[in-house]
Amino acid sequence: MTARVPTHLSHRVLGYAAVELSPQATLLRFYAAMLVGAVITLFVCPQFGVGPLGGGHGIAHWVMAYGAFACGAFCSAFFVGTGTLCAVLVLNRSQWSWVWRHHFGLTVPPFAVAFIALMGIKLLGGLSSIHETPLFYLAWLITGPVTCWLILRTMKVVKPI
Amino acid sequence: MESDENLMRRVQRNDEGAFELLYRRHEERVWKYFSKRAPRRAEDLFQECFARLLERREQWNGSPFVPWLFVMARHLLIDDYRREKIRATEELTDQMAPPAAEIDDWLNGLSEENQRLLKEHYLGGFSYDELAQKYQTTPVSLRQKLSRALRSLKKGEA
Repeated sequence: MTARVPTHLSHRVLGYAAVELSPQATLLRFYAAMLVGAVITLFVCPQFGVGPLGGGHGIAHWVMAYGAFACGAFCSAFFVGTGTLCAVLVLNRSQWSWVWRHHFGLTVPPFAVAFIALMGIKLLGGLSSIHETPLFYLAWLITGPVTCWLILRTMKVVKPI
Repeated sequence: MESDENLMRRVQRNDEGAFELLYRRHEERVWKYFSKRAPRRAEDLFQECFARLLERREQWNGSPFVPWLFVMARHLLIDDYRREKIRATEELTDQMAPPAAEIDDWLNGLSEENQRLLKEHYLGGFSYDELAQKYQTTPVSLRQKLSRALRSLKKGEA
């Protein structure tokens, strides 16, 4: 062990401090990437009528055949998972380190917003009959956070802090 | 020269420059502290220490800065020692524990009650008090029972 602090370690600490002391840019980047990732997933969801991938149904059509729970689980996992993955990929090391440290507080609000939006769409009558069952929402609520957590854990191995 | 406490007050107002000054002032002492006591984990602990300083900056109440910083460093080190100790004990237990069949053979000559008591105390990790409560006896009499069981085990070996 050297008596002096390794240079890379000082860079890491000071980089982390810069993010911690002014996190606005990191938050903006994180949420913007998450939003972009999440919007991309809508291209395979038949509910929203957009679908450059095979007329709007694509793989979602296949998942729907397994019922409301599978549909909700797939929807949530795909939506939350892609968003989280995009968000982590655009961050630099210091930002990622900061996000990992605060990941619970950072990921719960967008998930809650997405769920509320989903409920809003349902109330406005924008969803088909499969989504009338509580099973769909239960699956959505369970799978989303689990997927998010799994992706963050995996990314911590792939992209070390 | 600006005092550490003044710099810390500026850090509380999210002043990055003040943090850098504080960091440069104390990095070597903190580094020596960790690298001397936990050389293999020094980098992680060092990083964690400053991350925690930033995270808890609002909780700092104007007390002398250096003792506050080193109390945090010491707590990190204690937590790390605990984790290491648990990990080392688990590894050692895994390595040292003989296979279950071997244990059964070894205890075979004892009464069923003694076998159960020895297994629960030495392998299951139950304390004298816990076992005494479970078998509705006193810890002293349970200790005697275990001691007798050990003696007969030794006799059997001889």
